[in-house]
Amino acid sequence: MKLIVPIKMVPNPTLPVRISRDATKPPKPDLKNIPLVINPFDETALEEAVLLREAQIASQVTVVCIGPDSWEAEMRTALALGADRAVRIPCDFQVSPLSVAQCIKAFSILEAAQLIICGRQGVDADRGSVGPMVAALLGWGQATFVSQLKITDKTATVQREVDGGIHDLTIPLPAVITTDLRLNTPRYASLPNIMLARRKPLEKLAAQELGVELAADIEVIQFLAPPPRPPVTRINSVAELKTILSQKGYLS
Amino acid sequence: MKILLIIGDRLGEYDPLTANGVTAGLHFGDVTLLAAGPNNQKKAEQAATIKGVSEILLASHPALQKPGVENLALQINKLTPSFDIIMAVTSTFGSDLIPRVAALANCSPITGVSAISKNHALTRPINAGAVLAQSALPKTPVFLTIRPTAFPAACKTATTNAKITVIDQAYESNLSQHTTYRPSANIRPDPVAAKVVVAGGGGLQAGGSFELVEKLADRLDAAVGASRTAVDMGLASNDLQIGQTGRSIAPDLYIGLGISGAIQHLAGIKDARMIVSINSDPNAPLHGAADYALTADIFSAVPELLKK
Ligand SMILES: Cc1cc2nc3c(=O)[nH]c(=O)nc-3n(C[C@H](O)[C@H](O)[C@H](O)COP(=O)(O)OP(=O)(O)OC[C@H]3O[C@@H](n4cnc5c(N)ncnc54)[C@H](O)[C@@H]3O)c2cc1C
Ligand SMILES: Nc1ncnc2c1ncn2[C@@H]1O[C@H](COP(=O)(O)O)[C@@H](O)[C@H]1O
Repeated sequence: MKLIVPIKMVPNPTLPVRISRDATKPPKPDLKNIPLVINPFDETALEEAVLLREAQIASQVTVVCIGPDSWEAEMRTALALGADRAVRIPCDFQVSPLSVAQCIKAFSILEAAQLIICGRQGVDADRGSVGPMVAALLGWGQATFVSQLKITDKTATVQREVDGGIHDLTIPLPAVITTDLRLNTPRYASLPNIMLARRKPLEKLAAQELGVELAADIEVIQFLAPPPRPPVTRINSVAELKTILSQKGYLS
Repeated sequence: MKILLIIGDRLGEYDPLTANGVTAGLHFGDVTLLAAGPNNQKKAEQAATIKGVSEILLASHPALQKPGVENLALQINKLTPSFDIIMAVTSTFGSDLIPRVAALANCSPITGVSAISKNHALTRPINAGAVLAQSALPKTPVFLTIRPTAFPAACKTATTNAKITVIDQAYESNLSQHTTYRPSANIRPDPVAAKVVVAGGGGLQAGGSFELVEKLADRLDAAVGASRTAVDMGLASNDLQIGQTGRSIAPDLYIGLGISGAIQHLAGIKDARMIVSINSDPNAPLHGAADYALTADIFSAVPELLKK
């Protein structure tokens, strides 16, 4: 069974994004000094796919991305983390989620994939749209926010993390899964694997070859900083906190 | 404009956050609700008394009784031509459904909308809430999920004028097969709708339980929330996770106990009116983001706070 893991690169989420305050230009998120990393949920997706291959349930794991040249370094990281192949569909502008989903759909058909494991959301724009969109375009079943996955005989049995509790679901393959962080703990790339990955090819495939015309994302007309919060008041004792909470009517 | 809001489903039951969705929908025009899936009749009854709802479509075909999203998406796709905006609340239900419905109509959805301006421009937080991005409303049909904390719940009325229309066509795909729901053990209010939330983090580990958080929550009539670390440690159930990948909350008062205040956690509490942090580390980032910061050991501070 062939597996596809769509991955995207995002500004390292442990670093704060600030909004530029150059008075001569409209404000914009300042991402200059923030290195790109594989979207954390996609690392989880890749780990799950590699585990399935190691368990001999999957035969091949291919990561695919629709993105610019600057993503190539992290495509190598994906190879070092265990992907068999890395394919990039070049695109150097902010692409629409629909175009991304159309590319992944066409690529999955081309590869005769049986399972697509996406991240539940990109932590750059926090959309969470591509997974279910790919499932819709392919007419496949979907299981989102998955924190446990078992594949047996053409069926995926999953545990989904949903509001109010856990949803246990079984879906026939082929299907699309989106990952929650609790699905697994991604491994680190070992030095030998990093060295090996340097020699593996990075494949390129034009969107046109997949019959997809890449469309731009909806235009942002304005970036804003969230409203500032008042400065912090340091309090020195529990008694002081009690007084504050009582005065505001929370504690009697 | 004609708006179709899908009534929210939570473990097969009516999601009360639907009322917040109505408030958002009324920014655009006339709101019709769709009651589908398990318990749809009951969902329709519960939603019928939300002020501002003009009509409820009751989709009763047995194919929709299964909680899988695939049949529901096909059903909504057939209704799409009659509406300008198809929307749901940003819940795990809405986030699962709306992108699927949008793709069936060859559109990109806009998820997690936090503000709708007078000219219908849409704002959504990006980069864990560090930035707000505003776009013009695209050409219709438009597919949205809206953050429930950004729009107050619409009032309930004593009597209802909403017209209930039964639609019984359905489109069967037979894809996902439901097995079971396991509700979390949380008996307290939903943190998303609560006025006060007491949240616990990794600092609770030494106690081995969430008891301290629960006791303070009970004293303050509050909901309980958790950081990802607390959920990962098994101290709290997954649906209590607050943050970028958990739920976003906007209570009047949030108290964080033993929570460091990582960017991903702060993303979920930015809209709290008042933030209190109790942490033994004076440099915890949550102390920096709080209105009131108390540097103290929670295992002594909270019992003292509880003392009458
Ligand atoms: C893609 C991604 C998504 C994420 N999404 C979320 C999310 O939605 N929500 C979320 O919360 N996190 C999320 N995280 C995780 C986040 O980055 C942090 O790791 C997490 O929030 C830390 O939780 P914590 O502050 O409870 O734990 P820790 O970082 O372990 O902090 C524990 C705190 O408790 C304090 N403490 C310890 N003992 C005591 C004591 N006795 N008394 C007082 N204070 C004490 C410590 O000083 C420390 O500040 C995400 C991470 C990633 C990569
Ligand atoms: N440009 C892209 N290339 C490949 N995969 C993507 C891309 N954008 C999104 N994805 C996949 O879709 C998931 C959800 O992304 P998003 O809908 O952008 O939040 C990601 O975790 C990836 O698995």
